[in-house]
Amino acid sequence: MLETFYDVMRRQGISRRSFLKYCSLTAAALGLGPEFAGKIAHAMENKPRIPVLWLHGLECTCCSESFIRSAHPLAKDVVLSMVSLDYDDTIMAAAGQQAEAIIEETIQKYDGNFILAVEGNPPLNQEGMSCIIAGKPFVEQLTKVAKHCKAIISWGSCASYGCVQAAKPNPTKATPVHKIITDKPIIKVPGCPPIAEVMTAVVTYILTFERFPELDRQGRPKMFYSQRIHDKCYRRPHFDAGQFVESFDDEGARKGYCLYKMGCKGPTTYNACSTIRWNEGTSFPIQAGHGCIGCSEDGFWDKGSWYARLTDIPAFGVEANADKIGIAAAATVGTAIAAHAAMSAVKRAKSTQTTAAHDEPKQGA
Amino acid sequence: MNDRVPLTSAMWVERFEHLFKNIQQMRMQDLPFLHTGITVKAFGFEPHQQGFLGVVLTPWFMNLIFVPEVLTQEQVGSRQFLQLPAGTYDFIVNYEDPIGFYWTCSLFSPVLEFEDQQAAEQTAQYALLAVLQPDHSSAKDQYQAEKPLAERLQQPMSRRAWLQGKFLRD
Repeated sequence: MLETFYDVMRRQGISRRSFLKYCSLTAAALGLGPEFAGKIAHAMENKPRIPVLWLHGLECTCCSESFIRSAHPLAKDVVLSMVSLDYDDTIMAAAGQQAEAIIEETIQKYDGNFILAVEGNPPLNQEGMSCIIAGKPFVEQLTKVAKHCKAIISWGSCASYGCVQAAKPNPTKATPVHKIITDKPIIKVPGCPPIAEVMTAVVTYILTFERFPELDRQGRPKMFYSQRIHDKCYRRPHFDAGQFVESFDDEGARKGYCLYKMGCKGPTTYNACSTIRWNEGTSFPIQAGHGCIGCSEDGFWDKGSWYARLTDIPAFGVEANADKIGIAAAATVGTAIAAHAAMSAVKRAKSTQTTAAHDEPKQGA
Repeated sequence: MNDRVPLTSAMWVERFEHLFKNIQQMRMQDLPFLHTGITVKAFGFEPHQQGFLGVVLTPWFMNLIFVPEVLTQEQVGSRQFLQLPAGTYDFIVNYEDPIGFYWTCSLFSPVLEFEDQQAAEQTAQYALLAVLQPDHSSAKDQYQAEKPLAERLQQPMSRRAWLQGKFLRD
C-alpha cells in the first residue's frame, strides 16, 4: 500500500489535532479561505506522498536555513516530514555512495512523479568544475535528475536568477536553472533567502493540489510576489507625506521616516516582506532601519550600491506590473486601458490572507 | 477634532487636495519619481460604512483613502482591515494635520505609467468604482471555477446538500 503524507506525519508523532491546525494555517497562508483546510487535509490523507529531491548547486544554504526555521513550529515539522526530503545533502543522514544511491532509487521508483527542488545554480565555465558533487559537475546531476522529475522548484535568487555568483563578470558562468532546463515546469521562489512561510506554503500547495499555484509572467507565485515591498510598507505614510531619512541616525531615521533617499529598493522589489515579515512576523529589514536591498529581484547585485537612490526611472515602470503599457486616456481604447489598469490595481491591492494566518495564536504541537 | 460627521465629501476632497499640494511644494521638490504631468486631485469621499472613502491622486502616488468617522488613536504605520464589496483590503494608518488619522491603501506608486492627467484621473475613478463592486476573481473563486460540473456531480452528496445546490459550489 502506498504511503500518504498523513501516514508519514503520524509516524513522525504529529497529532491529528496539530495536523488539522496546520491545514487551516496553510489554507489561510495561501489565501484560500478556511473551507479549504478540509481539502488540504483530505488530499494529504489520501494522496500518496510525492518525494522531493533537493539539490544544491552554487549557493550559501540560506534557503535551507530559512526553510527549516519556518515560523510556525508545526509547519516546520509537518512540512519536513511531509516533504520527507529523500535527498538533501544538507540535512539527510546518508552520505557518500549511499546518498547518491538515493537519487538513483528515486528516479527509478518515481520516474516522472517526483518534485525537484533546486537551491543554487550550476556554473558552466571550466566544464562546470566550480561546483562538483560526488565527483561530477553539478550541471550533470541537475540535468539528469531534471529529466525524470515532474516539476522544478527554483529556491531563492540563485536558482531563479543567478544571484551573487552570477554577478558581473560572472567568472564561473553561474546560470539560473530555467536557462538550463527548458522542458519542465519551473516555479521560481526568489529571495536571498525566500521567506520561510512562503517556502512551506508553496511546497504544501504543490504537494496537495499537484499543480503550481497561479504564477506571474516571471514564473513566481502571484500570491506572494504580486505586491512590492513599497505597496504595503509600514513606513509608506512617510513616503506619501514626503518625510524622508536624509542620513542614517538623523531625526527622520529616529522617527521612522521613509528610507527612499537612503537607497531603499522597496519601490521596485516584489516580495512579501512587508506583510509576512521575518522571524515569526517579528520584523523585516526596513523595520530594522535599513532600506530594502531588493534581494528577490533579477540581477540585484549588478544594480549599483544598496545605498544609491533609485533614480533609474524606467526601472520603476518597466518592472512595475503587468499593465506596463503607458496608461493613456483619450480615445475609447484608452478608456478601456484605464479601466483595466484600475481593476488590476484594485485586485493587486487586496489583502492577501497571509496576515490573517500570522495573527493566529502561535503554538506548537 | 473628534467630530467628523458634519464634513461633506466636497470638504474632504478640498482638504486632501490642499494637504498634498502643500506637501508637494514643501517636501517633494526635484525628486526623480514625480510625474511632472500630473497634479494633485481627490475623488469621492462619499460616506461609506463608518467613514468616507475616496481616491487621492498625486504626482507620486494614487491611493485609496478611508477616513474613519470615529477617531481612533492608532499608531501611524499600523495595519487596519477594511471589508469592501470587492474584498478585504489592508490599509496603513496615516496622520496629517489638519485631517487627523486616516487610512491609506496604495494603488499606484509612483504613477509614471500614466500618460497624462486625464488617464490617471480616469483610472482613479474606475478604481473607486471597482472596490465598491463584488469581485469574483479571488484565488478561491478561481479554484472552484476550474472544477467542471461533471466532476462535481461524481462526488457523493447527501440529499440535504443536493437540495442546497452544493453541486454548484463547495
